[in-house]
Amino acid sequence: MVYEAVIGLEIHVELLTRSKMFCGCSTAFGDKPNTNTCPVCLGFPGTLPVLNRQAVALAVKAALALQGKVQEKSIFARKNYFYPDLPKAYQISQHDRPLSRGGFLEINFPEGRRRVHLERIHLEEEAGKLIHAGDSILEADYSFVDYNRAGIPLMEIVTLPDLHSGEEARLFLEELRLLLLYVGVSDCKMEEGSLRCDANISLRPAGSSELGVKTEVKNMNSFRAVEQALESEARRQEEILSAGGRVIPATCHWEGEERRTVPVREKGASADYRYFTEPDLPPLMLEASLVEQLRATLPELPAQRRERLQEEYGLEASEALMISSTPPLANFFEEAAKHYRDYRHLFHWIQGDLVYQLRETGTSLETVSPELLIELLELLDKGEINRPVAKELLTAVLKKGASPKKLVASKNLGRISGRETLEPLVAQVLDENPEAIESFLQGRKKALAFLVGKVMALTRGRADPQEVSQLLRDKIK
Amino acid sequence: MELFEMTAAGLSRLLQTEEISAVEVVESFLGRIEKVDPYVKAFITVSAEQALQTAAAVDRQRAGGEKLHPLAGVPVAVKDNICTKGVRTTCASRALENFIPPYEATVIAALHRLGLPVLGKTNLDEFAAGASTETSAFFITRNPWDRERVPGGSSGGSAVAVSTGMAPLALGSDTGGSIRQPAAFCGLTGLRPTYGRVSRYGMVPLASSLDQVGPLAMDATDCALLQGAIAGYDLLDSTSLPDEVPDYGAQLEKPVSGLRLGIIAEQQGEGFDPEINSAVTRAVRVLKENGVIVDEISLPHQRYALSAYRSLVSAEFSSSLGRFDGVRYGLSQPGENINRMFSQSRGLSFGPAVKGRILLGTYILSAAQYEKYYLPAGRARTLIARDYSEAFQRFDLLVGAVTATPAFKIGAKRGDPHQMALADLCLVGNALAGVPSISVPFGAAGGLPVGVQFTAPPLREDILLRVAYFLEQHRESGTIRPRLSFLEEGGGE
Amino acid sequence: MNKLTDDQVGQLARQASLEVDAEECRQLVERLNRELEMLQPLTELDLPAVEPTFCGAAHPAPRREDEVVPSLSLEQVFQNASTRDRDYFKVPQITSWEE
Repeated sequence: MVYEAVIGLEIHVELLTRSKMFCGCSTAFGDKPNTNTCPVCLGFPGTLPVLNRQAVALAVKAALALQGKVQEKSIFARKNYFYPDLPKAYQISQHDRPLSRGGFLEINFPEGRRRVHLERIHLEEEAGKLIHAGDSILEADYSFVDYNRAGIPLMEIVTLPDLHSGEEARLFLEELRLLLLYVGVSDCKMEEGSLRCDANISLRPAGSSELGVKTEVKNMNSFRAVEQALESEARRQEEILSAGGRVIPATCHWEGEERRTVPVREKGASADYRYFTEPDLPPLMLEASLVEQLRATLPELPAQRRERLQEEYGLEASEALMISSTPPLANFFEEAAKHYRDYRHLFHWIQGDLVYQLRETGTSLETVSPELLIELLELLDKGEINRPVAKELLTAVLKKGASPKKLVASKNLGRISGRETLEPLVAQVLDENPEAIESFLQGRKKALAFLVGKVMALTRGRADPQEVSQLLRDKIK
Repeated sequence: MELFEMTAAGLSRLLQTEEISAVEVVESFLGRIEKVDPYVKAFITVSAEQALQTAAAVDRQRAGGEKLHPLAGVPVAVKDNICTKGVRTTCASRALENFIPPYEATVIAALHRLGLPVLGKTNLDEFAAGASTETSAFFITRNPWDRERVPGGSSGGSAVAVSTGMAPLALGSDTGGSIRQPAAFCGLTGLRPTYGRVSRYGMVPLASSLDQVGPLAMDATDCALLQGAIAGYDLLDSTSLPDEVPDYGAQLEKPVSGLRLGIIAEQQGEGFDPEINSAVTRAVRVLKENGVIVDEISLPHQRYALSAYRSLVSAEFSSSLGRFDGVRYGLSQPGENINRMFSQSRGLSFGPAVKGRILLGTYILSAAQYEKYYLPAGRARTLIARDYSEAFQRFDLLVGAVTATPAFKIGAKRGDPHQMALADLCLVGNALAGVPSISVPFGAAGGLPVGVQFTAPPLREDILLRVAYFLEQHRESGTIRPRLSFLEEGGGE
Repeated sequence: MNKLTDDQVGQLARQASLEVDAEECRQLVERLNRELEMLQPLTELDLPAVEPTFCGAAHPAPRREDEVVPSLSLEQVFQNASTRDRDYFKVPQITSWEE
């Protein structure tokens, strides 16, 4: 039998606020343990939560960017469970009245464009961080708790089971991350845990509309891991089903090194979180006017930008996709395009040589001015330098931030051209290499390339190899 | 007359004219505590040093000609579920026996700002989950009118402190009667403010959706003064009300005539001590004689009030007490794994009454029981609140008893939720509705004080205080201080 | 009304992370059943499906500005903790957890 995977994702996103969700402690990452804590986020008795305006605004903006229906009234609830990283023994979250319902994100899957629908988006708070004194949580004799992270604002995005493969899940996550970066909701750093993803996956016979028994997959710390874990879990379930067995509802851990999912606990006796309305926080009311105000502050979204990059600059769809996925690079491109008309040429230089040289030289894009690249391209266009020199210059520009024009002048990099200048050099090379001329005359093309190289070496790369080649041919004949 | 025998208003006058110093006042009350408290056990912690420091600062400021709050230098006793920075706050629980809060409750910050010295922290039922102060993990507090009887609760320590002259003023907290009932049992004026009128920040919750901090005092004037000092908006409490705080004291002498008073059918009459009924009747009569318009009113959903109250309180309580796991503060019992550490720490932290409430709340909130017990409680609360708002279309205030009986014997109702709950009958409906109520001492039953309860629309504490003040002027018996004959007999602990 | 059994109360105690001994448990069973009896009016009466009230305040949640205010000093953070190990709270082994 052929099976189809049905996958839904739960994505936790830390919101980019200065202070925590319910108190004024800093959200800075990497500070000394327990220094960003106060009676509220440590859950001291008698303390009370007060909502962070910016956290609400960011979540609303994310919901709007994802076409969700922002609810006029949403309610905070306590999710009760005991764990040493949870200071109050409950997490303030939203349960049956979330901030936003519905919504979708359109994705370019290999099979075509499709909407992945969302169930809801809600606000909640982070737990603290546990550091285990051993290889894994269960082997450690004890653990250390750092509450710096406790109370950082979180947004949870829950999709409908609209995805059908690990690859689709990864593509969705990549597009979602990009959207959230564009809106400025989160820094989406998976390595720092500011974006995390859990998945639910079940299998069903292809074509069936019923849902099979699902498992929950956790412990995936990169998009690549999500893809691999879901492919692996789908295979595991398929093996069970193909052998006539039944999938047991469970939570599975992705063990990256072993490249497999391992069921860690049965979900049979599903956890009872004893949700109830948080009595310390009245309902969150979001009047339509406020929602509209926030909508007006939404920046251009990735999909919109791609469309515009194609229309305004004549980029290919794939090119637009490529450059828009690195917003600073796309910004650089658009800034440069204000003063440079050959957009495709510009695009190729940015996406090609610039990206390569940034990586090679370890330079940050922020330190590079678009004007310098334009100056360089203009020198090239006017024929004042050749392409190899242009590439060399780019390295120098990135390293020193100097003007290409000045570099050309000071280092005497201007292109060498014209019969009068080149002919003596050509003559010198021919004189010194009679056997190469012989070889060329016998029809060996490589010999000409060798001679061109010699002339180029004499000009320190500043001549146009094309022109040199022509001159050589003329002379030999 | 000794300083400790004076009201807060009286002390305020002498302090303002500099006839006495704040240090003298504090010393007088500290002396009184030393002498009386061994017999009644109202205080868990006496913060003499801090109180004297505050008093000395007030005296210096006054000497420097600074304009001070009328209550500057008048000391206060504080219920021990209100956090005091640097001063042990126990909630009368083993869980917090050695807890020193690194933060200040907003009401305490207000007292400090205005120059009211805090004398100490008073006894209560463990985590305020009781109505007799018998479930304190440390000791029971005795009613000074009859030491065989309870002072009421859960703010029993605060009530006894004021009643015996160990403090001129006290703060209590009222979730479902914890200020009003001990006020009635000890002969004091006790105000439960409108929900949100006084900040809850730093008050350890019994039930967040119902808790209010409020004043206990010898009379309406003192009650008004303290209420004025603690009321107001607090950025740290999301349920706090932004409305401006009126000058309660300035309105005490306004005439009562023209006020429309509703007698709550369900809150007096059958089942109530005849002398309590009589007190209500006589209070109504004197008001009527002075131009108050009186009629009867029924609150039909009152019959759900007790069960709704107990359901909501248990649910919230069970959740709010989850944090006592021994990791960050409080009693901590090392265990071989985290489950053992948590359950042993918690098991040793709480007494049986608290454990019972936690388990009941855990049960009620479980997915299987939520719709059976918790959801209907929330609906009943909506209906009860509607009853009150409809009643206030017709009336400016409502009257009934505070309790069905005067103070009962120690041990008489211990552990019997039925008996204890009957005592709450008149106290929880108004709390569920979030409206303010006051217990006014009026009359007596078998030599014990009796209270009459008035309830007003939201934010109309001024009406309650005005009526309380009026009734004081028409009180039949002279003194409302108990005669502390035990002081002569000896036998304090 | 269904009465709670010893087993059920034991289960509740585990959920509430409360260690109770057998004698305590027996007393709690009695106490809880008396309490539950008192809640019966809620289950027997047919309440209209009005919007329930679970928060005491009728106004919307206020929102504070996103500003950082000073945190506690480490001395204050650990002042009441017996679990301090360097600048962490140290807890024993986290065994498989009943969420």
